[in-house]
Amino acid sequence: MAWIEVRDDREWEGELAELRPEVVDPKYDRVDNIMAIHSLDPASLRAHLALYRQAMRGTATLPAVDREMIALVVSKVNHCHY
Amino acid sequence: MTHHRRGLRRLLADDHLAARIEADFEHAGLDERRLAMLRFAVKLSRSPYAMTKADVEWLRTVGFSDLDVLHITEVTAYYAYVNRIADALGVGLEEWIPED
Repeated sequence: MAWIEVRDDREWEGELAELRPEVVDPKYDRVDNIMAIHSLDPASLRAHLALYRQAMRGTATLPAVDREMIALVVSKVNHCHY
Repeated sequence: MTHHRRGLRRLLADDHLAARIEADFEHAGLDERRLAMLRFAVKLSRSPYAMTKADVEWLRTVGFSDLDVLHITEVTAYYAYVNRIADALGVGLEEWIPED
């Protein structure tokens, strides 16, 4: 359980409900915790989503697989277990 | 790391390579280009104040364009952002996703 309030994504309303399709994991029809953590501020969720898309969008010379590789190695260096 | 381990495994279609990269990317049999990219990202993550123009120039030497350098930097900086959020707010793994 996170250390701040997180609104259950299955009960999102208003602006959060509008954003939900863009952040939901279709395999489980649930929003990942790293996105749901922004639930107290939809603008915060939007901002993270925009950053994520830009960072991880594959290009011809730096495809998605290389970006995920960087993500894995950097997360280890940052001691992040998520 | 869990999410990225799964993401990389899926994209590489090679579980063993993903595991080797996670354990020690320096000795995973990666080509010079990927090694350079990862070393840059690691240095930037560990010691951002130590970055120099020479670090960027090495990426160019191995064949990355300035656009690629911008993107490699952006990915690395994004993970600094997301790792901080996860750590500060106690973001845990999803209960509905089974363990590896």
